[in-house]
Amino acid sequence: MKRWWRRLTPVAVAVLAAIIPYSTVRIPGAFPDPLNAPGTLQILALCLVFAGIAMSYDLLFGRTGLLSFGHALYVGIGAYGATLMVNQWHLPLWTSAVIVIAVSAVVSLLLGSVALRTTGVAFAMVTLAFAEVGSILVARDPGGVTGGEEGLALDGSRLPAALVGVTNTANLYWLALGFAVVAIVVVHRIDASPYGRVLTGLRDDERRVAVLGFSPFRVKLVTLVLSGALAGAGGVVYALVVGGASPRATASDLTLSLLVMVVLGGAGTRWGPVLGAVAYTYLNQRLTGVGGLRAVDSLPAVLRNPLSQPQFVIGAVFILAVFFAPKGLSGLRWPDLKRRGRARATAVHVEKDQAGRDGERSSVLAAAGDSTSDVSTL
Amino acid sequence: MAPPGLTVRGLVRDFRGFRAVDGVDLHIPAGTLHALVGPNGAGKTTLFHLLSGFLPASAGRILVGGRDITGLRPDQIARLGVARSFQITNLFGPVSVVDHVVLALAARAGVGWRFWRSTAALTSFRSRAMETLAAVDLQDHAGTPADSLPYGRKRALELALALALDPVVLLLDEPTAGMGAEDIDRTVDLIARVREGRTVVMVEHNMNVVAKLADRVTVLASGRVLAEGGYREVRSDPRVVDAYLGAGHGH
Repeated sequence: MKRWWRRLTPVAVAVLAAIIPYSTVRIPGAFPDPLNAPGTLQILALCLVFAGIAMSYDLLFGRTGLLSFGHALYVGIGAYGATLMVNQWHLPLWTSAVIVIAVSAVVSLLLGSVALRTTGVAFAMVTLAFAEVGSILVARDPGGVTGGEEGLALDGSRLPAALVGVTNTANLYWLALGFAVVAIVVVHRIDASPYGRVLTGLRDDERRVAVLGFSPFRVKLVTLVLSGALAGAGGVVYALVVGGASPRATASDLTLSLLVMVVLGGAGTRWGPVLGAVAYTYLNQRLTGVGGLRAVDSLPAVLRNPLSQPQFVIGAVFILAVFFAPKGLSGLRWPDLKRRGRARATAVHVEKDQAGRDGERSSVLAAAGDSTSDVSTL
Repeated sequence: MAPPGLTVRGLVRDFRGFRAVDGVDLHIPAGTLHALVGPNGAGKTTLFHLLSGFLPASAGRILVGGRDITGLRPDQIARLGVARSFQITNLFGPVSVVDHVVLALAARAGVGWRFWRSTAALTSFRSRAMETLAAVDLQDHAGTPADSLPYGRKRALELALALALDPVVLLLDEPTAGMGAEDIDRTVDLIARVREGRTVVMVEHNMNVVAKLADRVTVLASGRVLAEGGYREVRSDPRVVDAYLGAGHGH
């Protein structure tokens, strides 16, 4: 009984999500306009785009244990690539999307081959370096191509008519929903496949996976390519929803936001990244209005100023969430809140520290580079 | 197919000024069970890491069945049919016992790379996984997450994983470490059964286990081979006694 209920709920949610543009329901406090208003749909579409991108990020972070600080690079390739191809080279949208996804895959293959020579913090730094290069390149605006700080607006005349204009926001919303569904389905299918098990294994113990006959390097590289390609696709949809590409799509801020989304929702869990992404994006969009609320205005300056900054509120929410719900929103159960987050997954590390028999063990680990202690302590 | 023998020639491993393995020569004939013993810090586990490719050798050669495997990666060595268990249990925490074995079987069959959910492949492996679990007496814990198992049963799972790969060379790193008497007996019986048709190299501290299982014993001390031979001759060798008890032991 419980199993088909669990399978049916996501489908039901997806169907509900699909009919939102037909609904004139108002949710006071949550949105200023009814659900089918362009403003509301825009926010929801953005939430869905990030849900998909967050899933692609979690494939790396939560499921494989690779802490990448360079994910924004692929979103940027998607956004800028699509915008440039449509505006400058007059390619049809769908062709641009396919090309951009292929480019993202190739770039992640090349960068991954370099970055994966390192592990843990060094890996994070290498990926950050690559992303920063992309970010700087975009800001420098070589040949006037990328529009520098202002970014590029998508030339509406070259897009399918159905995706242009305020009245068609519903179509953009459905496109974002489609992307989110695809990303979720891809990652869930991987979870259930043999390859997905190998990923779980890699996250927990790389040596063990090698002993089974898998090259950890190759498995990680394939994961990087898949997640890069998905993020590239997300970049295209992002550009459509937002109306163009801007340096914000390539900034390391974006990757950090993805990290927050995923941790907030629950890294490595089935729905965690989606929940985290929706919550974060919604708060980010809506909290800019908090500063103008009368209730906040009447507070003394020491409270009013921070509360007017969305990032402050989000940061505070994040800290509270990690404290009370260390496994993320998706791992939330009432008893956990009472236990105040003492349940941390340190079992593996306790065991590793237990057996200190052979004197050479510590030198072996030091020489071999204890690669398992990187991410799981986050 | 006959299992290969294992040969090690002049193997050296240095660590920043400390020589853990100092010119070790070994010859392990095909199909035999060879025990590696020695006091703590003798270099047994380092030697194992060298044999399974987790550490590169500073000098020397390792040959499996005449084939030079020195410098190969662990996964390449594993694919050649060399399976190894770990001294410190390295299992995948929340993954269930049977899923561990299914993964090992899938790896061996070369389907580990399948992205898409291939339920058919996984279910076909499940029955063979259950057989492997039955061999180590873990069939009742099939659905338990690995990190919930008692220690002795974790070691059993380690062994099951090594077996699932159907290796020709089995490297067992202290298979009975930390086990109670009952578990030890079970493990000894199991190793006695599965060694048929395989070449086994076993690091062990428990001399009873070595006495029951080993065809030949090599004693390592300070990274060098101290003595080699049958269990009884090695046990009474005065150099071996000295190494274990410390030189100057009066009796």
